[in-house]
Amino acid sequence: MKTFSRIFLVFTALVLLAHYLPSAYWMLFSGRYRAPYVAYSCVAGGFVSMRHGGESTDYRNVAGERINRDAFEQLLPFQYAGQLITDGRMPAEICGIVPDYNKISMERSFVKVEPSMLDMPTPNFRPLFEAQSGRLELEAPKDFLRLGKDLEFFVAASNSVDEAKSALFRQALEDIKFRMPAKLVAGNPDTRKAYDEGLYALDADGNLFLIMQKRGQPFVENIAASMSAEDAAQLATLNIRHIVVQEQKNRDIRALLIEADSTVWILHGAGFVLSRIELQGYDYARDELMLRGDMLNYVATVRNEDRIEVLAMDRNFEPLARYGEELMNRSKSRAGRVAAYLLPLALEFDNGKSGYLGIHID
Amino acid sequence: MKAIFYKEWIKTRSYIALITVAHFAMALYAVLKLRYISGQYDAVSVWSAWIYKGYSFYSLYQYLPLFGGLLLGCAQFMPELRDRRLRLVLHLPIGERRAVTMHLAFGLATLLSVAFPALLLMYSAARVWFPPEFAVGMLLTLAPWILSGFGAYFFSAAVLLEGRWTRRILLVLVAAGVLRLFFQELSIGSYERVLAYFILWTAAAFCLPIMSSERFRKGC
Repeated sequence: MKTFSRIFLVFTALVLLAHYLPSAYWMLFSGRYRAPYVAYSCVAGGFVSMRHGGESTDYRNVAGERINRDAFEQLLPFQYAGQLITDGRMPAEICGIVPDYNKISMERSFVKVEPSMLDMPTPNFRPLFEAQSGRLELEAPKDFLRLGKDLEFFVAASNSVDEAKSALFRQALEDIKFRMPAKLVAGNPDTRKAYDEGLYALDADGNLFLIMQKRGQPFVENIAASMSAEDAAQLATLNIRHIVVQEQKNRDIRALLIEADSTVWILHGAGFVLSRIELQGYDYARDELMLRGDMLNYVATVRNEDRIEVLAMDRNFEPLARYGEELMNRSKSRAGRVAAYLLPLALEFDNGKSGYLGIHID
Repeated sequence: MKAIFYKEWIKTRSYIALITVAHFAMALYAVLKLRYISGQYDAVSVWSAWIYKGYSFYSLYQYLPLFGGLLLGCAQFMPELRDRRLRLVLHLPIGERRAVTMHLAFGLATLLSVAFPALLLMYSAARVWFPPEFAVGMLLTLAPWILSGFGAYFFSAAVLLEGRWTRRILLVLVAAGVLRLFFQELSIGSYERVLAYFILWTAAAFCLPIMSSERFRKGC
């Protein structure tokens, strides 16, 4: 008992030192490292960048030359359309397109996926919006869908199952051969979104379905049956781990499918076209992924503490150009090199990449 | 065993009553708050606050087990140190280690007993307004807080039984560092993956007061 107590106390003290000392060290010596903003300029046919540093911001053109803010904005006319129009600097034509602010605004899209969004203890209850309510804005439904071993609509006010509605939707899913239990369900619960895409669900066999509610009735769709045979064959081979739904005004991007090996696929267009984003170093457990779209291009940005990867694509997600940069971070700084000697072990319970606490040893 | 439990009961019953009332009162207040929130906002908003923002009506209860464990540890072992009366306990025919274990078992049983009615009240209330998943998430969230009470109890006993001030200070520092880790709440159920480690650590902390009592007996 005596030996055990001593070992236990020493072990506890070491764990505490490994947890608190690095944290205190970095509170004292951590510098400020911000990743640059890298965007694809269709005007210049390459990447431009913006870096915040101290009191000033550094803007660079495609050749890496320092430019001023006005020149930077003119290289990204879709992104800064409002400013350019206000200043009277909007060109008469952008890459063969006559600019129309409403169209530019409509075609602008932004999807962001953070590691913590994908690994969060979220209860299996989702709102299934009325997609055709006839109202301009979406309204939160009175019930929540629990789709797992079974399909049930829970009415929040009474904390009970709406058996009739549950049976209606259960039957609709059975009719299109959805096999319980659902392996994965994803949707966007935001009521301020542009429209309702519905819920995407993987059934027990790994088939992907879309579940919607239109005028109180179930609208369910087997995605593979609604896409081209080639895409359906490709979809069947995917090992989907996460589905991200973030509705955009132009309704082009419908869902992001992330495989277990972090390969990212996009479902887009009315016919559920399946396109792969040709990223080289994305890891959904570690990296932040942003997808920006405008009238001509989509740009995917993968970012973590060590590096940034930017991939410019056309509207069909075909790669056009790629940019990569190793980033300066605290571990590469002088304080980081000193820390490597002084603090050989760092233990974190919350590494900011998950909604769960874990044991993260650095 | 009965005699030790009776002795401990007589010694600590007023503190146990205080801790029990505090637990139950805080749980009752949390339930009343939930009832008020459910009356002021529509059910969909309250459910959405739970699902997307991690609303937990029981967060008021967070530090109560910790303070309860600390108070019970002090109530049990401070009187024993007065005039070094603990020496009498350690020389009981049942043996020193067994005697201290009995004292700690009494403390553990007490902490469980005082928390149980409060947990039952909050669980029952949660089931009135929310589905079973909410109640499960609640228990997962409450688990590290309850464990912190046991941890605080073991450390307070170990510190009080420790003879040397340098060791006492070391134990207080370790206790402060460890017990803070029981309150790193990110969202409901965020301890799920590490809860087993925290349970193991708390169970192992049982040895600390026994180690201190052995040194107390030897007078070092």
